[in-house]
Amino acid sequence: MKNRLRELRAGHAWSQGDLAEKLGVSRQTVNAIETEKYDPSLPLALKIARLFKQSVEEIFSSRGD
Amino acid sequence: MNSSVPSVSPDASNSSCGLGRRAWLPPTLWGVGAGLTAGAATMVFAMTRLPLAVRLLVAVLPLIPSLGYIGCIVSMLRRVDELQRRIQLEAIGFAFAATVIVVMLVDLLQQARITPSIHWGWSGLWAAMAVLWGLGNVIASRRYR
Repeated sequence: MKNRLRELRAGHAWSQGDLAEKLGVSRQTVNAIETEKYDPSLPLALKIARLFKQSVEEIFSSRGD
Repeated sequence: MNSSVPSVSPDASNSSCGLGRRAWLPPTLWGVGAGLTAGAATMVFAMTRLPLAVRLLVAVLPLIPSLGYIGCIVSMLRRVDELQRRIQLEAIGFAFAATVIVVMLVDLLQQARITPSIHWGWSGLWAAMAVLWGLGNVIASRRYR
């Protein structure tokens, strides 16, 4: 899946470590999501959406979209 | 080993896998304890003749640190985040299958008298699985970089 996580993180001037801490995951996980090597689980995707005050669909989209 | 338990906030000192730097210490200590007690038991059996009850006790003594090791590993795998849990699942699956293949290959080579006949025992099997688990970790981790 494609995502806007890096863009949203940069908008808050957070490092990957900062974002990882806020989400309760490792920096490796944040990096893997941003590089689209890993798709987060639904709970984590919802947590990300809540953190950035956007819907899951606004942050994540399938590659065909 | 990985269950659907909410991830715990990673220790700020090391977020490479969602655990603190010292998270690997308890299972390492239990593992070393299991190895040492098992090694000691092997030496005791080789050097002395003991009554049946004592032999049984010495033989099962390594179970105590071994169970501690298992408990630590399971606990740790429940605490890591979802990506690390996936990586460990892939690594453990690889290690299990690869260990079976390695043991089979070594045994066949010994039967064919291509390699010397060596009694592996528990130590060889444990070492092979540990190394292959580490290799599995490296392979699985690289997929998500």
